[in-house]
Amino acid sequence: MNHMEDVATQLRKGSLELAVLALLAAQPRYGIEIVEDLGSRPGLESAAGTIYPLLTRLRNSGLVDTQWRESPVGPPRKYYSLTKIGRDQLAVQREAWIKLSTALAKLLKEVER
Amino acid sequence: MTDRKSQIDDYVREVASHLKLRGRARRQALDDLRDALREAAEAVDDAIKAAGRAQDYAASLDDQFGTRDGRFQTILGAPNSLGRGIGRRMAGTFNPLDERLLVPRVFGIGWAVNMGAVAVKLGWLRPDDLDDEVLAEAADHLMGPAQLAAGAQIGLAAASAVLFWNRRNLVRAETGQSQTANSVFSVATPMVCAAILTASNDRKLPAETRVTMPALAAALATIATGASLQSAVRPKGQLIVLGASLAALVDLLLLSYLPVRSALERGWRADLDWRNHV
Repeated sequence: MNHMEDVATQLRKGSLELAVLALLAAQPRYGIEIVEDLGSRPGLESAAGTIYPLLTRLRNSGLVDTQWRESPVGPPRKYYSLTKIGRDQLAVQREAWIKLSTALAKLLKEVER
Repeated sequence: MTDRKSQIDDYVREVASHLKLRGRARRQALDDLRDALREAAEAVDDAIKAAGRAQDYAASLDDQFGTRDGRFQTILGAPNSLGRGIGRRMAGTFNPLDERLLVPRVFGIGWAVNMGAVAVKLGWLRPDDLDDEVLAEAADHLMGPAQLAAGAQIGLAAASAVLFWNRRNLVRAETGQSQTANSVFSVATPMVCAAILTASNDRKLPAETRVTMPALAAALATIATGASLQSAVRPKGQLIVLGASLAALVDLLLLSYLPVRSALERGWRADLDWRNHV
């Protein structure tokens, strides 16, 4: 892994929880669907080995809930959805992220000049 | 189908062997992983490949839950109790999830035996048998016999201390050595043991610490009994102390194991009743 990738990984690690909560806010999703969705967003690509443990932790913390649903193909799937606590947490993290990213973007722009 | 199931079971088992996380979260994490792999249906190989190496997956889980790495504070390679965390060291003396047989001593510098690992090696427990519920059940409702046994050992230690105290001048005359240190040890140790035993009732302490406390109190009391009797009866020998040390190891193993065994049996019975009912 080169330095650029290493930095990207560290930044992504801190923001992955927010990304997953945001994805689940739109609609309930199953594990691999979350991995594939993030994989389609450059910069947020994450392995199943990272996302599944994160989902377990979110469920353990009461931020997400699970529900089994029949699948049109293959076995039933475990769908993850946001709980009330999860929605509140998403709102808090979203606000903090926007504040941070706006401030940082402004700072980097100033330095660029 | 069986191949896929065994492939998934093998992978989950391998992750479990690397995972330090314990309790309910551990069980939930492994169940989630098993479910996620089952969803892959025919493509289990790909799903396992996507999950990554078992040790990396376990490390990712431990990272998410902030599981401690279990490293000891050491002096010249020997673990010591100079840092904080006496409760953690007590819990370490009966931790089936930790495959290390030697863990830091609760007091002082050096090692103690992890009786949880011994119980696993003897086939009495599986590494992940103890979750938070089992430990809470054992600590809250099933420690009575272990506490009674520890109380009896402390009584013996106190009686031996009285015997030694009455004979200390004779022993000094026989050996020509001061018996002050032995006297202090024989009198103070039963008190320390009684304090540990009393603290085992404190529900504010973690259950994994509390279940080890009667065993530790009993083991320490047994060693104190042996030391006092040795000094009082055969001050120049070591046999009684050696026998007491071996008995202390048995105390540690049995008095920690029995409450959790009872809790597990209760859980199994409840599960069986529920299945029969359904």
